[in-house]
Amino acid sequence: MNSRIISSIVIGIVVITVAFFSAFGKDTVSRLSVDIEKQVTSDNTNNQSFPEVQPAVVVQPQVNTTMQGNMTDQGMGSMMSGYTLGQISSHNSATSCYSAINGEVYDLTQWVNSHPGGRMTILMICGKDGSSLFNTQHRRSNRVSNILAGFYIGNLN
Amino acid sequence: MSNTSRIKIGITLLRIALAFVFLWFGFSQLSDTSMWTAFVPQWAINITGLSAGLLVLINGLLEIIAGSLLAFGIFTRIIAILLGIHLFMIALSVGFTAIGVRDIGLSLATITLGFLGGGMFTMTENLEGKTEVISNS
Repeated sequence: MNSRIISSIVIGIVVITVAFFSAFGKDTVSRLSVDIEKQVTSDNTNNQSFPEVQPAVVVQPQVNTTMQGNMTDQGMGSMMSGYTLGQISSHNSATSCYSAINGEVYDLTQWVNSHPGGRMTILMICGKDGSSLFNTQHRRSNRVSNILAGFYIGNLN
Repeated sequence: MSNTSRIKIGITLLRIALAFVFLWFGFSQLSDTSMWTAFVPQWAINITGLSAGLLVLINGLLEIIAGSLLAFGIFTRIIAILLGIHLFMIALSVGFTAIGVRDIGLSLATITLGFLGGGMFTMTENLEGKTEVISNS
């Protein structure tokens, strides 16, 4: 093999490896942190009848985890009666991102780093009413609405 | 640096960058399938009879294979055109949203790579002696 072939192989392997670790690595870390969070929540709330946390790392478990967080932070009352913009405004960061979209409240914390359009566009609507920006970008997309539905946590009062 | 060298470097960077993009999305689909199932169009589920999750896995696997071929510079032209058409169809199904418009740009860049060839460091060029880049002649 000459040096040009070796160079081609090395470049190909490097690109594949970097892509693998940047995609799989991020999710693996996020999966691990969700699992740890579930474990901690489970330990702290041993005798309470919260919804069972699913083992897979998908939208559903993330929502369940969030629901547990809501119950701890603000009580079931917030979920049943809804959220005010004042309550939402305190969740205005990448570590806790709530947004009101078309009268419904969503916990987008887990979506911040997964949004295909970049994290900045999600961070822009954390802690506020993001209806205007969402409708501008995604109003006609049923698929996006389906994804958003997975993060629903209550209604806006 | 000659004009031809600049073109070769540019095309090589384009190939590697696009290979990375397709590989990243392919690996992402395998690592977190459920995050992508909402993007699977209903007609694809109806035609194939497969679940959305399985379609995402298959799509991710195909993107990893095609992205790897791009990274190594194997059959660059045909792979780039196929990937470009594939991404263009996805972009059309997403619609004229921020994501859709970005994907249309990426798909056209991929198709452009299909017309230009692989640039430098391609396996096809090394193994078959073919030059996958436009020349001055």
